[in-house]
Amino acid sequence: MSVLTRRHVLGFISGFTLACMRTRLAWTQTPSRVVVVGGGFGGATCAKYLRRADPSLEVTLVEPHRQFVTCPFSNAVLVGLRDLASVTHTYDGLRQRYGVRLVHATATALDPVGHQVTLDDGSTLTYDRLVLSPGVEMQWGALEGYDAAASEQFPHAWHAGAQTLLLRRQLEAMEDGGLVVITAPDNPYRCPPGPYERASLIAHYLKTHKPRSKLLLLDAKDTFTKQALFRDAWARLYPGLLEWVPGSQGGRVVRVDVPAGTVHTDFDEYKPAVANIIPPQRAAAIARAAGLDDSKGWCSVHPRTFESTVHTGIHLLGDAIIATPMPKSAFSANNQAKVCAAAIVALLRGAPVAEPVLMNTCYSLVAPDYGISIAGVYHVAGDKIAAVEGSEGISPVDAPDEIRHREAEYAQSWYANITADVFT
Amino acid sequence: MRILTRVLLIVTLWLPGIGAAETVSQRGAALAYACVTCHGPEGRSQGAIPSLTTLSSADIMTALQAFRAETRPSTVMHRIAKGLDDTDITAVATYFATLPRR
Repeated sequence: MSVLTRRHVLGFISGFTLACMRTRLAWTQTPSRVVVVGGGFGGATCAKYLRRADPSLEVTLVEPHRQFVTCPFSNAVLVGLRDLASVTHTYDGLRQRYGVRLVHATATALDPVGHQVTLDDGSTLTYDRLVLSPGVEMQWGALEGYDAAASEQFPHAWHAGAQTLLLRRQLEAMEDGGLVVITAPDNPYRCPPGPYERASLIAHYLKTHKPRSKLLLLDAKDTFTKQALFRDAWARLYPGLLEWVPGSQGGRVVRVDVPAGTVHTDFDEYKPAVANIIPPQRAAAIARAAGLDDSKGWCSVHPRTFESTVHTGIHLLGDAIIATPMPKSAFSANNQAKVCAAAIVALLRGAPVAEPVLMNTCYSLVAPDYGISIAGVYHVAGDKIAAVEGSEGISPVDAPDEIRHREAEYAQSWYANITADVFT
Repeated sequence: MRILTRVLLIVTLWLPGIGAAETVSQRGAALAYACVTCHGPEGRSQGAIPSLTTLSSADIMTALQAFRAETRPSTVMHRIAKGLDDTDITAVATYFATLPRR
């Protein structure tokens, strides 16, 4: 037997009132409010495309930083092929050209029932639809000995900016003949080919400036994306300089000891001159608020709308979600953001949601003039994303140098074009 | 006045679904939004990736069909094109043709 308490009655009345208010808002044409949390490739794109699709929407972008430093091409910054300014973007275009309202704060809590986001300054924002695209956070402590303090000695450089410059200074300060260790985590993590592109470009830097040095890539995994292409290129470009150690052959790092300056696997202890620890990751804190994440710290969505499978009215994008087989890439986040923006506009109008267009293309540089790619087109079957047959694949393994050169140029061009798409 | 607004809204909601031409153009726009990530805003590319605004809709259709059949050399486009059916190819080519030329 159920007992009707005062709380139930009050809850019912307030819920009913809220529903009436929402209906009334619809009748009087008060603009719908969309709050977007996170100003990276997912969030910034979503804010822009929401306003493009429906200029009557009130779109607020919550992002703590005044500038966005991209992870794509931060590996080029790391080895002096670019400067940090060339991968830094402002929100001026979103604000001035598209009328997105910027709030420079951190979202700290969610109320999925009351449709409110709390910010770190104590204020709240009310939304009709919420988009969370906050990216990843490092799982401090998941690798023994590796926390925020340790990352000041052994940088992760998996958030671009100060960490990128720290690792760059360490590489520049290293003597010729030094050992560089990069550690790569188990799947899933931000940017699957990132550790391998990084190893490649650091190897290029060492070959050019410090040729007696050695780079060891200690991997928790036995296989990785674009593996055949990377390994073929490494054998040709960096023989004896870059060594990849797979997880089953002693590559899995189990502990770091920053005071001692050592990196430990099950079998060996290394004392590198420079250590770049790419640790296990999970969805950033706000995407794990209100029970939005699974037991492993990632979020799941309905892929036609990118609405959370846990709470209605909340959409999630980019690196914080599992959208397999779409990888955690800038292109995926940008693409998901456009699908999500169109779905939100449709949902707010009560119109049918269109069939999504889901794609990814991801370039990696193995050397400044040597590029490789992976691409795929996806469709939604049931409530799952699947690759369209024949569309998913990597650059040919036996391609002539001319193709590698062209893909390196395309990588640069892609960067200019995607950042223009997001921020201008 | 408010009653009139409500009646109009209700009538609008009861109207039959959007026409076929509009569906094609919506699909074309959705596909184009994916293209511009590499080919640049409105298909105007900076750098080595080709711009799409200099091409006619026939050019785009021919190119996509050839990429899909692997009768025209490419780097990524033979993969991307295999994800598109004939309706998609027509829709996206038609969409880009509506954008300002340059």
